[in-house]
Amino acid sequence: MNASTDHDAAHLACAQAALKRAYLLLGYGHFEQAIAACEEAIAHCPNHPLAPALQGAILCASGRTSEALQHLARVMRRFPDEIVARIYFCEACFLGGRTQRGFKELDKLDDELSDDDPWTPFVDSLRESFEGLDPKQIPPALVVPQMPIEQTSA
Amino acid sequence: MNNIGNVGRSPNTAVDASAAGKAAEPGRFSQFMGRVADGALTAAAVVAPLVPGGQLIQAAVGGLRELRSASPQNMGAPGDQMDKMWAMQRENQVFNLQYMQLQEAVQSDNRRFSTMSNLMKVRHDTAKAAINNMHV
Repeated sequence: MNASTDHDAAHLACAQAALKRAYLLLGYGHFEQAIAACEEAIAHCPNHPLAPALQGAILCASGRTSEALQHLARVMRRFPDEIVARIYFCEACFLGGRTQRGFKELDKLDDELSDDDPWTPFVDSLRESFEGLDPKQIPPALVVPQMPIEQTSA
Repeated sequence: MNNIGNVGRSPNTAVDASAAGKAAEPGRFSQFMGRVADGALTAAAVVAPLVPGGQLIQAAVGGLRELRSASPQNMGAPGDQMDKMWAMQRENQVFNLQYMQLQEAVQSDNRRFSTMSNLMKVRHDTAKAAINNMHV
């Protein structure tokens, strides 16, 4: 393993840690901090598609749907083969009221993915959730409201 | 998101009002029985002077007439009870229908909740797997 590989591996580990932190923060409704953690991950691995894709998902979950749509569309243009970005784009379409576009993208994904693909359950679940659901009944965000972080004295 | 909100309101005011109206006015059965009773009392009053002890019968007839006129219109007669029963049965049907609608709404909400919950789980699992499998 040479120095360059070690350097890349270190950046990758940092990006992974930042993304895990982002998801933890998202779970507690700390959207801004979660997005900042994604930025950190992007800074560590600027050419990796996952961090910007997850950033789009977090934007979507925080209710900033139109921003998420634009962001994910950019990610899809830059990384056309990135499945995660495309799935989150579908979700953003549904949450943003663009149901037809969402189903169109889902159909494309269905054609490309095989049954044993790891993304297939997510695609199926998206279809199941949004099929037959009135756009008026779509929840504003699929996350719990922000919970306060207790300050513990040392 | 659902039609549970309708359940909190008064069950069905139109039906209640019509049922109450029907309960207040005497039914056909009670009117018929009332006419029969009137006829019988009139006949007894006519026949009473002709039979031995007629004065007693006449007094009894008079007493019964007074009792009938003094009794409230919507009480006592079996026909009225029947009408009330029918009204209650209709009301019961309305409540049953509303209960069924409520059950359907709750079931639909449960299904939706379970689907959304599953989506969130799959979403989280996918993200977790993607992060763990991240490679350059």
